[in-house]
Amino acid sequence: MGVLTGELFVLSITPDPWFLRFLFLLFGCGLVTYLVLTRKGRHIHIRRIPGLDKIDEAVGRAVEMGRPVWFVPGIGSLQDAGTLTAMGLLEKAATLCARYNVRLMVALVSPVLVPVMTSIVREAYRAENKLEDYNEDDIRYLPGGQFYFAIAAMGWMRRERIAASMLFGAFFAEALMLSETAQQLGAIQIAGTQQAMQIPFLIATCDYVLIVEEYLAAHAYIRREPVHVASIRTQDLLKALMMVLTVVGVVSATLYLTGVVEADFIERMVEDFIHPGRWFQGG
Amino acid sequence: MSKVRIIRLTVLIAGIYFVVVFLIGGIWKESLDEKVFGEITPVYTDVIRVIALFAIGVGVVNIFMVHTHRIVRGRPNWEHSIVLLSAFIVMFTFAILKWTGTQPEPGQPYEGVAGLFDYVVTRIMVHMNSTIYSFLAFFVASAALRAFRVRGLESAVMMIGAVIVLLSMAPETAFPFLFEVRERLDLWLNTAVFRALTFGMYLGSITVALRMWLGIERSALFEAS
Repeated sequence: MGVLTGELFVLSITPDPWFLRFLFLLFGCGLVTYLVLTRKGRHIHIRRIPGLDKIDEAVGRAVEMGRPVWFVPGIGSLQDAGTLTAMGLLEKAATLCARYNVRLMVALVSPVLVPVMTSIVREAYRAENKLEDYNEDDIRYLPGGQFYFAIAAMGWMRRERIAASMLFGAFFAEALMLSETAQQLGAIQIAGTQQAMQIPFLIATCDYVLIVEEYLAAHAYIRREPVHVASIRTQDLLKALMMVLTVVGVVSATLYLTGVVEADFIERMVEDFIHPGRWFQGG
Repeated sequence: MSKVRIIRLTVLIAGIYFVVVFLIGGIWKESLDEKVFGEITPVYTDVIRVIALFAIGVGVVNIFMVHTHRIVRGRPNWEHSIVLLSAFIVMFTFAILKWTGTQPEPGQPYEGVAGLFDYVVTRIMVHMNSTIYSFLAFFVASAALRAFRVRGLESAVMMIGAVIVLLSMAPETAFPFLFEVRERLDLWLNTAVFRALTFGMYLGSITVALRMWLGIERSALFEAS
């Protein structure tokens, strides 16, 4: 039993390298297949993500109230998947703010992010022919690290009395500080993060929350170009495979623990599943 | 070649190496692992570190340009820019003094001006950081109060779960039966949900990474001029 549960645990946490290679290749094949299909004009449905649809509403509310929109692209580094996704969402928020003449305030935790985010916001204003409204003072680097950033950001939010708050990216303990402050100011809040630990806090304080993979698919959802749709579809395909494997694992473990099947049979089945490399080695 | 194309090409070439290592590393020839990957990978990671350092350098230069500009032009709150730049210069100087100072015995602090950096960090910054962190307790209480309002079936389920967890934290003699309920909630439901979220996170991250690598992420990073 120890061996079996150990293998199942390995399956869910640190799979065999062969299994990862198989998933990687499957992902590549799936992406190419769906890309070809979408380019040929086949419609692929993507379900609605309410949080993303509400970005327009949040900016609209800021217009009505005549108060700024607040955006934080997380406190992750530039190479973080959450920060990369946040850049696409910042582009959308900046475009809407430029279009409707709303002030956009962006708080950054790292100096590395400053030139990149500044460029994104400026380009969005330029695309809307509103470059004269662009104010570089509203994109601020709040130095010192996590909690210094949080306290400076909270002060800035309170002074300017923001109307809408968008927290997208990697957040940790400061997530609750930022979202709770915005909540106390009565701002409409949309948040998205890939940090599963912060999801409960954001759900308690924000109006709309993009949960992990919803968030990571956000930019693709907004753009809706064939390559984006194909990548989301491939992601779903792999997720379905994961679900099937999970069910197989649960059923096989239950059958073994209830004595319906022999341990040896289950172990061989599990090993065949997670060690496809043995097929190539004739094992 | 345009700037955007250079970025895309660099990302693609850099990514190909890691994909090759991932796909054939450790399974093909030992000599390949030792002589090729074993020697190239450290060089490769050094190059990535150097590029990252350049990125930090660009960020610092940018900060100086923006804030010097603000001070010179006398823009609103220009005084804050003086504080920021002064703090940066002071800490940078302290760090240099520490770097050039005499290395103390293991376990002993730096002495004299070389110890200024550690003094500011351990005597001021750490305490300020802890103080701000302690505020979190009040934010948690305030958020919990709102989360516990029953507005529908889902919030009711959440509230019941939270009450069970809270009561189970009381001394064991008060609610002994709740301790086991809480453990099952935590180990069965919570673990399953977090694993599902973790699957989603990894798959989503792979998708974003793949789009970036292949240069098909038509994001602002690749399109901004």
